[in-house]
Amino acid sequence: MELHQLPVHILIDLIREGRTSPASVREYFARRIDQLNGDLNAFITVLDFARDDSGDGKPLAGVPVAVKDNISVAGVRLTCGSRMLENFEAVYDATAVARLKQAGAVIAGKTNLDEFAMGSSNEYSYFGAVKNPADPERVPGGSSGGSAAAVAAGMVPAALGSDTGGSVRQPASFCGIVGFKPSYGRISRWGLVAFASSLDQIGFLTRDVRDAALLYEITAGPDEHDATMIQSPPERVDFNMWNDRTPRVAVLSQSFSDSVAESIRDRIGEIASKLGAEKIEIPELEYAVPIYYIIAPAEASANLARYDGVRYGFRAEDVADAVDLYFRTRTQGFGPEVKRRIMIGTFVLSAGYQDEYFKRAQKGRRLLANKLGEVFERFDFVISPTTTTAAFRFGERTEDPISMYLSDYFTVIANLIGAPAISIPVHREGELPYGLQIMAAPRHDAELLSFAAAVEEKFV
Amino acid sequence: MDKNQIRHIGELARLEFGDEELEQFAEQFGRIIEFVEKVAELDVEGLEPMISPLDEAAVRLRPDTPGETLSHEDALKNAPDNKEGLFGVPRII
Repeated sequence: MELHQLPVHILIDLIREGRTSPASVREYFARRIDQLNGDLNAFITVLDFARDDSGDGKPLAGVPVAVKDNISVAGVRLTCGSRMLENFEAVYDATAVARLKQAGAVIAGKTNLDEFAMGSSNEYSYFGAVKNPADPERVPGGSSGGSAAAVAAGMVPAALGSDTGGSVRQPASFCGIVGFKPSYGRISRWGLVAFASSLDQIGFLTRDVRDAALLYEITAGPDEHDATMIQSPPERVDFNMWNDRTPRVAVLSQSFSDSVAESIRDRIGEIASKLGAEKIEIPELEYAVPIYYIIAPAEASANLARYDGVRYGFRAEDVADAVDLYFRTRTQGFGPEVKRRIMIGTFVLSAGYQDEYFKRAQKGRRLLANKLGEVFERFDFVISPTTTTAAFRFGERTEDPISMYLSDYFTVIANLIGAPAISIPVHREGELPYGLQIMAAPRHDAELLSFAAAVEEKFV
Repeated sequence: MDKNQIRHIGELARLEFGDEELEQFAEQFGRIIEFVEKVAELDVEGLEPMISPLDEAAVRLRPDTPGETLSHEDALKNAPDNKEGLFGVPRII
């Protein structure tokens, strides 16, 4: 096998055994990026990392990791896929990036995304859409589409993404790789540009589950810069955990609804029956996407109020006064989907509507968390497809925002309740990629990763 | 949702829309609101709003002690108008 087909844990084994060197691995991937990025547009910024030996001698020496361009890397442009931050340069490392560097990884570059991570297709990037390596006529998913495409095409062995409603898992599903969103509060959000603070979580796009566990163990755990973290140290992942225990698995009945593509329904049904999964119905899940599309825009409208053209980022020219500066800067600096979400958020938070929409959605969120809490008393894992379809074609859903929002049907649940969830590729030979999603109760990341590795061994 | 309502929300959000844009936007916006209005059907009687997946997140405060922070230079590094160590803004009076 060639280097670009190998996961991180095998690359580091080869390096340790002296069969290749950190420098050759770096040079190899630098060339891959150089060859492929022109077509795929996965990177907004490519770093000159081939001769960066700062990590040599450490566990991840030689391993290039791509970082979604809404996560800070000191001294590197941080655009969020937006005109607003086209020339913004990060002045510190995100905690997740700092921990990867400490472990010896080098940062390969910054990957493309839907503007401010708002989108499910990568078509809303100011820097142009990313193409899906499995079929360049189709979207890579979003919003971490650049990270997913970079890993799927073998431009890097692993990448960081962020997941607010499925932005790591959905593109992983569309590109045929593993995407893991840890429990809310496991990975520090310091250095992750805020979209919806109660939902945002950094996650990993990798070639296999072991790599997701490896990056998780390196980056997870409390950080003084993020006050919204689980304060206990994360458990280590024991891959033998389920050898002598039978996990109790539930499959969401919605996995078999008409809105899920037939081949995906079949495949999930086959896997569910082999895992001995019990079909469960949670009628309240029909409200998850509407709840999400109130809470996420509301938090976004508040978080994005900071882009006013005063302290950093784009500033419109020829303005009459301070208020005009805000209007022109924001109107010219933001793209259509970001404006749409700020508008929805502003509306649901505005006087007279706050109780009816925002507060009610927050109570609905509590209801969902309670319902899922009951499910996790009876089951260790809940499975479903990650996405209702495989990757769609460019332009197919941009005219109809609701059809785009509904592609997040299975993924938003984990963000709303703070649970860990992983997508692993399970498509059959010859099919476009799609994933199986496995979700566990909040804080059960280690159990989830261990089980996902066993499922991967059986079905991938 | 009519164009005047959209214009008003835009004013609150400091966003401007041209007439044509407003028309298209009003239609999309109306459909999105109609879609999320589904939450009205939920029985949420007696439930507390959930503001974070972590209950302790709402109350955890760090000790209020001075520490290292961004340097003056770094804080101004990305300013669109950086004059004599200050943020430059247009005249407002």
